[in-house]
Amino acid sequence: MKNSFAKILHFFSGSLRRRLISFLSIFLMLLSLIYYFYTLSVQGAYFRASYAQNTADVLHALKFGMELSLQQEDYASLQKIFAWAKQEHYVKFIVLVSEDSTVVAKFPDNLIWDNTYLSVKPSLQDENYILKNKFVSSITKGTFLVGFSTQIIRDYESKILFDVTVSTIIFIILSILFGTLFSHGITNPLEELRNVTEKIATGETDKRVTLKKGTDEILSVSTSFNTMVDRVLSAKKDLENDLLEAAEFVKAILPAPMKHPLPIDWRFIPSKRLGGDAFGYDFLDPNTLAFYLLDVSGHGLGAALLSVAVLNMLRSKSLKDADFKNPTSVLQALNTSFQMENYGDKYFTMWYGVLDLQTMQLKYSSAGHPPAFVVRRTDGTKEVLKIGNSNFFVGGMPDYDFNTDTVTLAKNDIIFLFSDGVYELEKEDGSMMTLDEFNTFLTRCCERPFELDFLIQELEKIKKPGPFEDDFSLLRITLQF
Amino acid sequence: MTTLFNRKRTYFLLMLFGVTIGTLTLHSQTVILNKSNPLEKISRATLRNIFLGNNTAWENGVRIQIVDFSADNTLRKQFDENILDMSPQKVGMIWVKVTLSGKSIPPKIVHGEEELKNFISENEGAIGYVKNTNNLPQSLKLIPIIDE
Repeated sequence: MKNSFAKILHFFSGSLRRRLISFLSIFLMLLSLIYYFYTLSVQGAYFRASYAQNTADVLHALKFGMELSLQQEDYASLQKIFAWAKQEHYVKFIVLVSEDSTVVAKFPDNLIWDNTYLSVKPSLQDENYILKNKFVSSITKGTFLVGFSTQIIRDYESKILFDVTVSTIIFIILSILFGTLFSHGITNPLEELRNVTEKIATGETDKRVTLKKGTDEILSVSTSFNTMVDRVLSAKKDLENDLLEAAEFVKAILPAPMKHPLPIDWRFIPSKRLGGDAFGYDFLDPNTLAFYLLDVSGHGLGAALLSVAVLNMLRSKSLKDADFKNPTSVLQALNTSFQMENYGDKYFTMWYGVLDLQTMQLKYSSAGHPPAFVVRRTDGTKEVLKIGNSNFFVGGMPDYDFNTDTVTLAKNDIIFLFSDGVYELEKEDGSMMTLDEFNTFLTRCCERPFELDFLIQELEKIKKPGPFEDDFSLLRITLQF
Repeated sequence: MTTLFNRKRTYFLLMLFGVTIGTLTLHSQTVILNKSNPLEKISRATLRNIFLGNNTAWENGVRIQIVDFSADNTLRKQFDENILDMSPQKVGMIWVKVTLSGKSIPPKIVHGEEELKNFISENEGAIGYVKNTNNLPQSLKLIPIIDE
């Protein structure tokens, strides 16, 4: 019971449409009920008044006619008067009692009157309508009583009760219909507005509100809404164009892939929002290769600009107090130059490595960055080494001591350097791919030479359809020389 | 003794005479009918039945139409008291009952013997009573009231 009441309450306090419908319907229903009771009482009172007037008239006519005809012993007239009284549908009975209590005349004949008792017992209400009157004539004098039937009042009252009830029910049904239609007139455009907004929110930006009828506020809201969406979309397009240009610029300052002295290839797929990835490699001397990849926090132009700034410093060797052959030195110099409070709270993760091609020793340092993977094949087995250490990201903590580790690589090893955008992909089932899964993927995936386009194709099969959410940066160095 | 006897006899004779006189007085009201009515005499009982609404038609089937004087008329009073043994008021109330029950035609109330005679001469089934029987029109006939 309490539950269903809560349900009803919930219905009425639900959507705007329901609230309007219930408000209008209840309002009109109340009007109907007022009409109902008002009509019943007014009609009833009016009919009772006219009934009372009519009975009084009948009584008066009877007294006047009877007295006159009894006075003159005009029995024919008396007969006529009684005949008229019988036809009066209000009159139920007449008793004429003389002074000595004998019944002179009565109607109907089977009525028994002994001064106090009426054999034709009228109903309770009828008793209220026995009217008495004295009369005087030459033959006799006495009293006559006229019983008026109230059946007609009850008949009339039940008739108007029926009529008014039926018309009220019709009125209530019409109220609900009208309330519903009227509410729909208001809420339908609102609902269309909502639907269109929801569609635009989920990416269907070509949807517009298509209201044409009416001149009310909802139409002007719709028009303004369409204009607003157009303006916002055009602003968004401008911004996207800017981002696209920025991405082109980032691409332009990346070093070109090379074949000699050793093959280095890369793929860079900037995200729509521009992720802030950048990478590079450089022969510090004919036997020393430095290579690095960084990923600025956040997205957009700010991130891209910071990544370009860092990249430029590394490329132009303009970094102050940095030994480019020493990863710790480079990261510490960058950490000093790019503290996040000076760069709009932006920081970056970075992987920096220096490879000696003669000793095959790789000195590396990774700051908050996923490790590089080295794919090595020995005697038909394939293994993937994780090359990374756990330094704090660059720009977070001043005077942080970055740690450098060393690993000896073998000929034909393949180094993969990448940003998290390469493996943090949303899979078909909605879950995220992990670094370990990417590791497994690389182990199982390919035979030499790890064609990058093929890798991307395979990754796209795993991930949910659509463009890459984050910048995709993948650098491949094959130790073949 | 004889005297006493004679006195008694005298009283008896006087009483008998009185009754005779009374009967003669009674018969001074004479019932009149329309000439076409075949009735030649009428008994008190029949008269009573007719004037209290119990008989509604003559033997030949014609409806009886009573003609009477109003309740304050002396002749009416005598007739009601002598023949019907009731007050005119009582008779009137009986007529109210009888006419309202629709059993017979209500009596025609007239205001004089001339009017009465005229009405009876014009109505076949009419019956009334008068005191003055002189110059009775041809259209009427008198009949005696007999005791049974």
